[in-house]
Amino acid sequence: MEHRGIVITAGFDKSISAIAVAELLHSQGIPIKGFVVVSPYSYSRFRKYIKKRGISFLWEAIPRLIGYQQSACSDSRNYVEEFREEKDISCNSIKTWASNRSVDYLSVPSINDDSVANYLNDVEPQWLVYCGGGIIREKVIRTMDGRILNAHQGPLPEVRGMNAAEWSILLDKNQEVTIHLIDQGIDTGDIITLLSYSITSDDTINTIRDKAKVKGIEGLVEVASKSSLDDYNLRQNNSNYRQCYILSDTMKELLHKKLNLVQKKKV
Amino acid sequence: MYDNYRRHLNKTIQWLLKSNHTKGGSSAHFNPVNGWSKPYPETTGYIIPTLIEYSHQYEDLKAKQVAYNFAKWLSDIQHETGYWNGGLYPAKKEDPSVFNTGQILFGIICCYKEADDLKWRKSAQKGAKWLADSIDSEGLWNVGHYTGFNPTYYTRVAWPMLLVANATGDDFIKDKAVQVLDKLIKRKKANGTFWGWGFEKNKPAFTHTIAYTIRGFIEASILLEDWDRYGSKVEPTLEKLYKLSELNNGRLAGAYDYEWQPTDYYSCLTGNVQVALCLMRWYQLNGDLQLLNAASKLIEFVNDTQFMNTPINALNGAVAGSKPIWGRYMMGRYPNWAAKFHADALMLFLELSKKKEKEWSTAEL
Repeated sequence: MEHRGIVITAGFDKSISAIAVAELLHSQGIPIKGFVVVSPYSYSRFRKYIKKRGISFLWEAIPRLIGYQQSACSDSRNYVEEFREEKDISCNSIKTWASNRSVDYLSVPSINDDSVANYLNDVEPQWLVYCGGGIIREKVIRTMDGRILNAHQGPLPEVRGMNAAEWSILLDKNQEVTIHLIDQGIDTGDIITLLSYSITSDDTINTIRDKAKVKGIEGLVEVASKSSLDDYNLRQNNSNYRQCYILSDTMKELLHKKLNLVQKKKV
Repeated sequence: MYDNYRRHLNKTIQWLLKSNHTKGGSSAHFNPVNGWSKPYPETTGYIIPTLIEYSHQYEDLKAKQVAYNFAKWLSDIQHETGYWNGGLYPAKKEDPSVFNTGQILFGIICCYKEADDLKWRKSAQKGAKWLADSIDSEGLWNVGHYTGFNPTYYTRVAWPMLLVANATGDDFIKDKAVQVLDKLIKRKKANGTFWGWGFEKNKPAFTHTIAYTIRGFIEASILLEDWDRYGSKVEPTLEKLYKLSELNNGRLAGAYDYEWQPTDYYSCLTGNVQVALCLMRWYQLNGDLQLLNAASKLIEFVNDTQFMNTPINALNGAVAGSKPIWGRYMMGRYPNWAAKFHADALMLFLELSKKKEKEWSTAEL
């Protein structure tokens, strides 16, 4: 079956994951049809996030928007940067990457904007690869007929929702990234594959998140490069598990304690 | 670890100690314009276990002494038939109150357990007996209401009755408490709300009384060692409150109607931490750390509203009724019960997290 190409979503122009997925698929000869990038500079988006996560959200978001996605901690390894170096990925802007290769770049106020469904209808990509941009609603899911791929930073179905790499530690689950299809629930679509990674004695929460991110990029590239899921034993997901949410400040302290104990026991 | 929580706990307890009224008891609230109010027997009663628990955890003898002083004052103003009056002290007229009597029992029975002094036992048993005797064959009270009906948050009267029954072995009091709870659990609606769980029958309920209702069922089930009887029946309500807490990043609306529609322009701060307590009690039963996460967000929301270092001494450590302060719940005031539940929530979180760490350190990870 011929591969009809990929459209990639992103929550902002400097999304390292979106650029890496595009670059790696492109290098395999998979056509990148376009990017759907949600504009971060929307008043309603900021208002929604501040209401949901508090004013501290701004301090986390601003560095990401201007391109600093990594931990400022200089004494820990930067797995994402190492991965980019290894794969010879140097571009830092989706817009630049798209422009250099004459690929569509759609900047939208919301991932569920009508223009997104219309664009996907026109392009009919093999896969819509999700690399951020907010929760995808019914219209876009219907348009793609379920062909939307996501890398989730925890083992599904047990750990669904936010801060999944962290919750995997707290809830004594495997450190795994799940590549799955997106449906209308939160991380409830069919499971394609689980990819594991390990925690080492020098890991911090940030490096663990980075490891999961790299694993997710690899998984998305592996699955999106195929024109069907025939090679995988698709498993039905199960939404009976309670959804995880962002960790509170105090729970982060508890997480650090748990991580230290896990590392000590490993040593 | 958790220095921030300890700092807030210390401030809240110091504020509760400041609420100690010269005539006895704890002032109901502080208002920046009118100052400290008259003492409030109801909340003075349930502040006692908070101070005693704090004195245990932090070896604070002053907190314990103030708790005993409160209990002595309450014992002195108890009516000879066992009840306590409603409202602030002194009451303008004799006004036997079911709810206030129940809340005062928390303090009296706590002192009895702590000091093993029969005077507290006698006082608690007399209060609980008055409550039990006043229950009709339907499992309801015909006297002593705040707003003219038996609200569902009377589960929080049945709970201290069970505490007294457990401490004294009085089965009559226990049976009567169970009769009330059996009646109230039937008020549950399909969506997890309860008819009559607010101050007024058909108006949205403050999270304060929602949490009163749920906590009463939880604690009664635990005391009766029968989770299915009430506890499992309030799990859908707890699940809903858990989700609302997470989806709103620790800020619950001030009140909810029977369809869970929020009155959203303010948050009821005491309700916030009371719901945190309910979620933590549930966590203690099922061990799901996600509940602890939601609880800590509810607590942190309240922490962020607390004055820690202002020139007005009486405001340091105070917890407001509402955020914003002009919200409908206890508008412009800093009630002593908001501080009490804030301290309870902080102490329970600190205890649970410490316990979890200990468990991890001894387990095979």
